[in-house]
Amino acid sequence: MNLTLKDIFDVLTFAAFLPEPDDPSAPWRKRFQNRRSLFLQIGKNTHRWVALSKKGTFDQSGYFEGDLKENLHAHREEFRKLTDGGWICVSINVRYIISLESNLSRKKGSEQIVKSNPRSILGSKYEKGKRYAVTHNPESNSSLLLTCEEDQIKRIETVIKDAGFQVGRICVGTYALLRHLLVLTTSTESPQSTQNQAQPQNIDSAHLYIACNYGSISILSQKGNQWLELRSRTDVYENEDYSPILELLTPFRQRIDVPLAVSLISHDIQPSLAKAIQDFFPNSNFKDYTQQNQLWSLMRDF
Amino acid sequence: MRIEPQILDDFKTDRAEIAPPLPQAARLIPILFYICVAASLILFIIFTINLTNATRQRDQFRAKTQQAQSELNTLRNERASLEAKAKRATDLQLWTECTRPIQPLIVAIARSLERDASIAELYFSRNSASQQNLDFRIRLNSTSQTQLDKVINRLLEMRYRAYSPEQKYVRGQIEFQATLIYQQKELLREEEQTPTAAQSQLPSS
Repeated sequence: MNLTLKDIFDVLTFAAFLPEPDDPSAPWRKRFQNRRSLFLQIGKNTHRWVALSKKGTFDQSGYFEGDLKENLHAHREEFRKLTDGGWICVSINVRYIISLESNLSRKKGSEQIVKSNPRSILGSKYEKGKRYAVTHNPESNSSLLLTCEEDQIKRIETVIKDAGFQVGRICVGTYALLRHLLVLTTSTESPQSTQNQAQPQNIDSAHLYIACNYGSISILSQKGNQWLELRSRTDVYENEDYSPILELLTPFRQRIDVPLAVSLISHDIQPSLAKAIQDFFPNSNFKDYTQQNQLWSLMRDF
Repeated sequence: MRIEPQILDDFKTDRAEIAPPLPQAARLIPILFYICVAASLILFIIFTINLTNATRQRDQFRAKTQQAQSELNTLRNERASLEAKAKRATDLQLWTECTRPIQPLIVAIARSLERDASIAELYFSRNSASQQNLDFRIRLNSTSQTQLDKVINRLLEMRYRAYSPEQKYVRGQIEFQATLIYQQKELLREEEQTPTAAQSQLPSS
């Protein structure tokens, strides 16, 4: 083992006791204690950014439209001032697939192994040139599978590096929101949770999980503990025109004939969206789990 | 059903050399290092202050020592001077004491001088062979034999008899030298009975 002067310096400055900025096994908050960084969501045509301060608060935000490479070069100096070391956490909001799969391998640590050795988890469903993330339903054999093209990832990495920045993480915001919504709802269903939480206790009850992220949407239906159907689309809606969302939800409403719980999570608090969905399911038990800056907070805290 | 929260999915291409963070217990190492550095700094400051104080005290002590040495030398010199003066005084006292027996002799000689006579030189010395006898020499600024006889008579009155006298005239001065022998009283009486005994030994002028 070669001990360099930097290693000694890192020990003396306690930097060696923190995860490295691009360590995927550590939450972003631990990687960047008292350091500034930039969160960037890459959309089809609109790219949004927010600056994370040393105190962990979101100070500045904005968006730009058009080509990512040109815009990054144009905002390079501005973004350099907002980051320590030029580290960027990227959320992809385009060209990804969230699907519902069954009978994937459930070996221990499979949700981590799928990144390094996807073939061992996906088996015949594995396709070369793609990267995967998976979330298993602990009560059934179904799993959420996130698929992203490797070329797109590498292209984003190249664009960001060419602009003089470093990539700390590349995730998919909609998938993160949906998974977080599942974590939140299943934790409130547990016996330790408060009893006044209006969640379905009946095994025949239905649950609809809706995750919205700047025009993208993922809808997962559940009956009892079984995940039944998943629909995921990007660039479905714009601004406050939620009719495309309601069109996507229509088949779910038609098929469900039992007491229904609807859980919503969005990238940020959107009362009009919550009202629209609640009105769309008038007899359901609706709950909006969205917090302020939900997407950015998720990327910061996990 | 419960889904455990976990770190967000990460699709980026990971570096091969990403190292996990060091265990938190190892934070003691830099903490101890900084404690040692701080302690060293504090000890350095304390030692520096003590060294400065010690150096200043040493210099003050050296200055005091030098001052005391200087005062001691001055006192020694004064003492040596006093001892020299005391020795000279003691010598003078001893000389005075040792010359006390011949002082009456000198006074008698001086009183025997006539008005026109004076003593050019007067010499007394204990005879090395016989401590009771005196080697006597006188040079008178006079050519009068009477004056010389008066001196000799005075010597006789003082019970000193001139033995082996020598007399000569030099440039208007009379030089007389002899060995003066102190006469005991019994001997003196015998000599008085033969008065010519002393005079017979005097050279004729």
